[in-house]
Amino acid sequence: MLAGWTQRKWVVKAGAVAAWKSAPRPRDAERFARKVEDVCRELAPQVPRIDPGDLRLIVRCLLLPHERRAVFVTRRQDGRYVF
Amino acid sequence: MARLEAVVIGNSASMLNGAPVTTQDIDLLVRDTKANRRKLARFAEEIGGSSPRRVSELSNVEYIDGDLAVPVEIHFNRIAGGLTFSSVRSRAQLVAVGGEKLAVAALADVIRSKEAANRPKDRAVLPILRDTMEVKKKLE
Repeated sequence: MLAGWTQRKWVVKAGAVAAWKSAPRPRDAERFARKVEDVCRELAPQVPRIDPGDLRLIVRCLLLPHERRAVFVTRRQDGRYVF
Repeated sequence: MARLEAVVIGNSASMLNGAPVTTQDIDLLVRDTKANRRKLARFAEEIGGSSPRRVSELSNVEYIDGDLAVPVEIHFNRIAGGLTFSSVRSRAQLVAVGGEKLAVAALADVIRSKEAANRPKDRAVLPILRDTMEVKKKLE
């Protein structure tokens, strides 16, 4: 009984996960771009001196995780450079 | 990094602080001790670079170059703006990059050192660093 219930619980859970995975949602890039826009819209009146293009770049960089703020170039064994 | 106690300064620190700038080298501030000199030599070996050598006769700044994507510049004990290793280190932020934890100088310290150095390349980047600082404060 308990085994059957547990099995059913896992089937339901797996179904829910599959549904969640296949559900249409904005791509991360879209979500991030919207977040940058929202923050810029809120901040722009507070920093009128800053050029809107610069503000977008600054906000974008500040919202990125540290690891993505800097681009590191590394040399592969074949001598090519990759980001 | 051979357990070298160093603080990332300069524009690499600006980038890691969220400023939209680029750079062609990595600047490190290191306390000048025999142990650190040994660690720097080992670090140079590990990254496949040259042994640390002086930028000029008059300067105590050294660099590691060679077959590296970017050279590493090493500043010992202090940088422009009267900033000592201890003071910069005390305000630095620990940042995880590629499995390593780096001490990154505060943006205010980078700005102060660039204001004091006042070279054309410093003056060129200062406006965007100041703007970043202002936006960062608003977001905090």
